[in-house]
Amino acid sequence: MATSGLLGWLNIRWLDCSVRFPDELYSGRPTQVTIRLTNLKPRLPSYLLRIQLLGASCSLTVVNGGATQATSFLHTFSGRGRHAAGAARICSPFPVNFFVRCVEIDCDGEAVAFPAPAAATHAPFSVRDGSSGEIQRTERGIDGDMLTIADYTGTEPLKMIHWRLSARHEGFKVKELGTARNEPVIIDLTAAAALPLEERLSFAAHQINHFSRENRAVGLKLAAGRTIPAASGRSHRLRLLTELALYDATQPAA
Amino acid sequence: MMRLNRLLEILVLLIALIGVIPLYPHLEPLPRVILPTAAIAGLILQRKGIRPPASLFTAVSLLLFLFYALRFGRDNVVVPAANLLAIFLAVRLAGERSNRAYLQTCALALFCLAASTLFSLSPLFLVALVMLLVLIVSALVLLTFNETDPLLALSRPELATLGKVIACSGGASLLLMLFFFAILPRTQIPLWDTMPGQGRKASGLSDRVQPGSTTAIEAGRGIVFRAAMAPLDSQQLYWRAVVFNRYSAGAWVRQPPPPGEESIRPRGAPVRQAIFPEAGKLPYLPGINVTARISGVRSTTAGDLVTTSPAVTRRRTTYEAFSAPGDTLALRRPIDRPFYLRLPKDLPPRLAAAAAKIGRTGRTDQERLSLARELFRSLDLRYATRNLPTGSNSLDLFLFDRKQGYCEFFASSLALIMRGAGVPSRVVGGYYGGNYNELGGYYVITDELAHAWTEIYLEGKGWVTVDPSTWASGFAELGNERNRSLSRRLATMADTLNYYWELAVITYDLERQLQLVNRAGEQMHRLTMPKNLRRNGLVAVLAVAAISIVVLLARRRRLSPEERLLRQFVALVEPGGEMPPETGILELATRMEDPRAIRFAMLYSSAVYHDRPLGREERRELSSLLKALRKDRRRS
Repeated sequence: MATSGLLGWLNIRWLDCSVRFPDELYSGRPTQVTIRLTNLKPRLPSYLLRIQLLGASCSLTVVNGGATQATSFLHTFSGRGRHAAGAARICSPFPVNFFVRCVEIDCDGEAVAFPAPAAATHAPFSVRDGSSGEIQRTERGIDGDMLTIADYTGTEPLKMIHWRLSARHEGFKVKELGTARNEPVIIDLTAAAALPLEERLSFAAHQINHFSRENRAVGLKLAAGRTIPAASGRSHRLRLLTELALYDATQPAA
Repeated sequence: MMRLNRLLEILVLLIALIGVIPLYPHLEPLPRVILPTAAIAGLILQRKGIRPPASLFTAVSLLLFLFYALRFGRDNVVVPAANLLAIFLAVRLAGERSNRAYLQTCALALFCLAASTLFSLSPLFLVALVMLLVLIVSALVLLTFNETDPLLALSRPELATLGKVIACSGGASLLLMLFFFAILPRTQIPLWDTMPGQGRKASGLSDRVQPGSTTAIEAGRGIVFRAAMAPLDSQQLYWRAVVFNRYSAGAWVRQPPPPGEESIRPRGAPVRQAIFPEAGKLPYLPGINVTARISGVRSTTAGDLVTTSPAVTRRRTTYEAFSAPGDTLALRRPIDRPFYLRLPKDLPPRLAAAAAKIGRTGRTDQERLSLARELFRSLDLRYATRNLPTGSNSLDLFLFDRKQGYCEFFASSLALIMRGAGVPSRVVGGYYGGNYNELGGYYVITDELAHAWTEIYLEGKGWVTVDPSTWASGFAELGNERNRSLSRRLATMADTLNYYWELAVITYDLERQLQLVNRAGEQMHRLTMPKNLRRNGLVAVLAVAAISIVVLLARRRRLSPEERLLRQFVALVEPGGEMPPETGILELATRMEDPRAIRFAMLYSSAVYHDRPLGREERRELSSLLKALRKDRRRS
């Protein structure tokens, strides 16, 4: 009993825990959380570890001395904002299952849960076109505004030929149009102030993702004096979503 | 990968086997047959995937329980209980393979081993116990894994590491067991030994000397006692146990010695014997003749120096005897002569006539003893244990017709002749000789060494030991044959293990514990500090501290080969050998503007930054690159 007690005690001691969250996770949606457990004992392995964290549990059969093992589980965060991993409860019946010993270890790791995206049936925000000079657009398309008139090179579609102008000139002239898809938008959170905050944030999250999927530059107006300029790219999208996750309406504008 | 449940199955079978082997010889035929049959049947059923209903096994267990329960009685507890345990174990071996069943099998195997100690407690028990403990610990650990996931499999290295952990835990358990064995409180009477002396033959020594009762004597080689002591001359090995002082109805028996008889205990008893008797039927405590005192056990010593203790008949014990080897037992005051001359009327006629003649011829008791010796020698008697004379006239037949007999004939005849001649005499029972075990430093006294001799009272001297058997032809040869026999010598050597088992385990009781504590206390009191201990001690402590610090620093400084190479590389650029912050190895190599440095950085980062240790070839190449870089650096 004494040796099994000592072994059981040692089995769950000198363990270090860290948690990895995905960089994009939404409130109310299941997310894979990875726990990395490091056995700080130089030689003695730790066996049969059951790890309880964030209300979920997962297990590791062996973590060798000085080694790190990872395991994961699905977790749904309720509510946007920062979520600390907190303390993991590590239990083990090793060595002889007479007693189950447990220990609590603080786990490094913090998650930022974005607002759950929700598609709005109507346009809740005033989505401002950024063509008024904020952004110089050079992309050409076939469905945007006319940018300029150019000579026909033989490669442009026939429907782009500006017949009236061509008649006045010796050669054909074609209309050069911008692309409507790439038109930058700025989502104005302050516009639909009548809606509950969480609903607004969910709609905004959905729109950010929606416009990003369409490869359009997206910006965000958080308050009267605070606007994040429109841009595209994953890191920008995550920045906007993080702003939404941490949005506090009572905070004064930065 | 190895499936743990398969391993567990093998382990539990092994546990059952080890648990039941020491009990198997004591089982009745039915469990003896059922046990192996059930084990084999269980294996076959398991392999074929057949699962007989659990109710079948319950019914069989109940029936067999009833069968043995009816045989339980006040005097018959152990045998039915042991058989029942074996049957239950057999049922478990044949039945289902679940964690619960495995646990029950382990427990039953342990109970079976414990039950075997009710029949005999030999060193084999210790071997089996140690093996069983280690295996049960292993099985319990595997059961824990199996409980977590029945399909769990471990790789060979993982299994090897787990094996090491279990072995360490088993080793620690054994050490703890040893520690607790020494310190846990014990009872004076062992609770387990419910049948003391069962299965052991009665000692060759009996409570009466009755020559003529049988035509042949068969003394076994069962051990009567062991005596740890320095070796003695074989002529001195008379282990005096009991004095028979009255001859009645053809037998010498013991009566309490006459009141007032008091022997003078020899002063200075240089021969110390630590005696470990087997539990027997007789309460006498033998010791080398002449025994001055006996200690270590509660005992009573009569005036004729016969020491008795009821403890030796109840349990295995140990005592110390202090003797001064000799053949004379002096007395404080004259003996009660009529008591030691008392004879029955119906003495064998020829023996009585010879005694009367010696009585008439001899002028003193010493002369009469000499005449008796001459008579024995002239009769040309032979020492034998077969074709012995029997009947009421057996002593006459022994002396004058058959002329052969064993020690009881010689001792009885001489004692009667001396009494008939008017010289006080008595017969002494004990043992003569012993096989000395050089390894253990002790004598082994077996049943066949039981011996009888006489003590003759000579005025002015006291009781003088006279062994008439030595006057016979064939007696000396008998002893030599016994000692020369190779099998006997080997058996004596092999007995060493049993001796230490008795010494360390069987006779370890409360008294020994108290002795241990007392001895430890005395040692502490006697402990004196040598004069220069303080200075030497200080030096020793400082040396140990210095070594510890060096070892600790060395451990802290112990770097992996990768770290060592990196440090050497960094030292070429940075004087301190420390990597500057925010700088990578590639950047550092670029600063050196040497293709070998770039090669070093590429090779290093391709391994280390991909969580892979450097291979032998890679290390060699890195070292040679470093060497070349260092050479260039020195030149410049």
